[in-house]
Amino acid sequence: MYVGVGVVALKLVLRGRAVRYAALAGALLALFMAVSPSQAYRALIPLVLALENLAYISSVYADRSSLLSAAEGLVLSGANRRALLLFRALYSGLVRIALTLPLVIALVPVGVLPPLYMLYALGSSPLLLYVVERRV
Amino acid sequence: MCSRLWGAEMMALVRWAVFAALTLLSLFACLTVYRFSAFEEPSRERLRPFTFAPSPSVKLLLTFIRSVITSISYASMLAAVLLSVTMAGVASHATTLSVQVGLSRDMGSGLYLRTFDTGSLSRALEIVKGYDVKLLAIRVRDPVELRGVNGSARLLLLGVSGSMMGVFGLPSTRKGVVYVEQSVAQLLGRRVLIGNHSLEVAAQNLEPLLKVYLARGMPLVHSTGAIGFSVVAVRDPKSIALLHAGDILELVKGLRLGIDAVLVVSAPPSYAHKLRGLGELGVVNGTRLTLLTAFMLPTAESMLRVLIASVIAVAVVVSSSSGVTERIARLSSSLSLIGVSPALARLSAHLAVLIPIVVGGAATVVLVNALLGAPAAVSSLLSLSLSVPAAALFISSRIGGAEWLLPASLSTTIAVITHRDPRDVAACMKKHVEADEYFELMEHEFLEAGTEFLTRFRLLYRYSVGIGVEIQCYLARRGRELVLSVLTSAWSLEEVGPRELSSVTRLALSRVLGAARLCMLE
Repeated sequence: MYVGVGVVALKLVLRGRAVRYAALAGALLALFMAVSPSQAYRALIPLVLALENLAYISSVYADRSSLLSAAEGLVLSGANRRALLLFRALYSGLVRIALTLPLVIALVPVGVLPPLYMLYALGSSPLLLYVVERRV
Repeated sequence: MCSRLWGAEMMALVRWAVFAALTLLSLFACLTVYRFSAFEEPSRERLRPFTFAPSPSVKLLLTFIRSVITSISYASMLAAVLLSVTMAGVASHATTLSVQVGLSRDMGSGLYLRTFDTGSLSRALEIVKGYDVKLLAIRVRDPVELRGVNGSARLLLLGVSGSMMGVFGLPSTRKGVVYVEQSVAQLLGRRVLIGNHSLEVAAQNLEPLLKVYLARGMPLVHSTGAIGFSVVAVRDPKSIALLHAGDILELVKGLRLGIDAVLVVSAPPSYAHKLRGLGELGVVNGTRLTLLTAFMLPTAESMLRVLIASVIAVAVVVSSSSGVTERIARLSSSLSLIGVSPALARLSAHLAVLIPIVVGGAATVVLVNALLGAPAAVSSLLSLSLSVPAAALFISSRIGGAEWLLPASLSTTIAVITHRDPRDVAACMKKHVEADEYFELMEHEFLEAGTEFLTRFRLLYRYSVGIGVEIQCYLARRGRELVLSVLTSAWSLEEVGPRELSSVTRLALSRVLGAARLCMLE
């Protein structure tokens, strides 16, 4: 069952718009950081990270109806609560990777180290999970 | 002489032509206002008294704003636009706008200052004290009366001094002497009084002064105006009095005269920031004068950042717009039941989405201006100007794209075990439908065919101008059961979507079925 849930989440991510929006937003944020002057980094990095979180929250809305349908289908085909949690985590994780990967690549040369970014991502994740949980 | 007269006549002619054109324009405006004033309201119809209560349109807009602004998707949309506007301002970089001017003579290196204020000129001379003043030309803007022994004359005072006067072919000047044309000198006598200052009069050919230009369009002598971009300078040497610049400075301080002064000094370019704010500033390098304006413009790299920030904002807006659209569609559907047309609802929804973004964006631009300065605010403003129309376009396509005009129809069949006669049930249903609060009965028909009966209602929805529902009820007795089949079809004179028609149809069906159930039970 868990394999089936994983396949559904992967299919949904690949066919949905959310991952495309997330990848576009991530790439643009990375490009913005790459062309910004180094003197402005201190002020820019918090703004860019805040915008990244917003892009993640808003990307959930892009595929909301298909996400709900998929979750409903999984429930009807006997998926339990743990399987649904796995489904949500897999879907959110894949979208998040598409959004974050280009940005992290752009932030490393700036001085934001991946462990530091991970710490920040972990700190902001409860709020994001709450928002996503409420909407999907 | 002849050409000068012709020029003066031409100027007078142009002035008269402008005056005539303005008079005609004013007359035309008055006639237009008079013509439209005829379309006044009739005297019996009075405008309603002014109140501060919001109009229905404003109430509708506020309803949409209240509904939209509380959604997470809209909050993220708004925050994304505001953050991108701030980011564009933070990452902006500006350069001073400069204009290159070619000087008529090589003046070496130094600084150029043009000022119209005596205090600024004195301050500038104080700042660059110790450096070589290459040229100082002070023009007193209004003619000044020179009172001589024999007579008096009103002349334009020009004060010149500096180490490079010879380069421009200017005659040398001494302090305490006023140089005028021969004929003027004869009129004035040996000494003149300007205010309380007594100066010696010397005759000098001032014709060469008229030909001296610092640069193209920058005459040394007074200018009388401009035609297009070409400056018209004084052409009569008899109207000019040449003095030492030091004398002019003393005179203007005492008589409070307006000046137009040009100072070229051999100070290094690092002194430019000290002279900033005292007047039009420039850097002289050989025959090139670079005028530094007060305008700061964002660089091309900043424009690229503005563009990227705007695209990020639009990407977030597009992806979160489906959440907002969902809420708007729900509210529009509810509002359509109380008579709000889809077009009005759509317009209100657009405004509700855009107004907070525009207001918030403008406030952010003001904040960026206060914290980071005008160039950053220009970048933020550009980002806002790019984001808002793009967001409006996408939201418009989302809100308006889901509607198409198709009739909506619903039908249902119920069977109730009852002994009541179908004729009685039909009459009872008519009574209930007539008393309905939502629909007005326009037509009613009852047909009988053996054991089957048809009753038809044409209903008009009371909260709208032109939405109606046609309901056909087939009643048939089958043993103990009374079977009722209801067919509905909605129609509209307005441009409404299937969602609204479907809502009205369902409402009508529920009223008729409710009436039928009540009547079958009685």
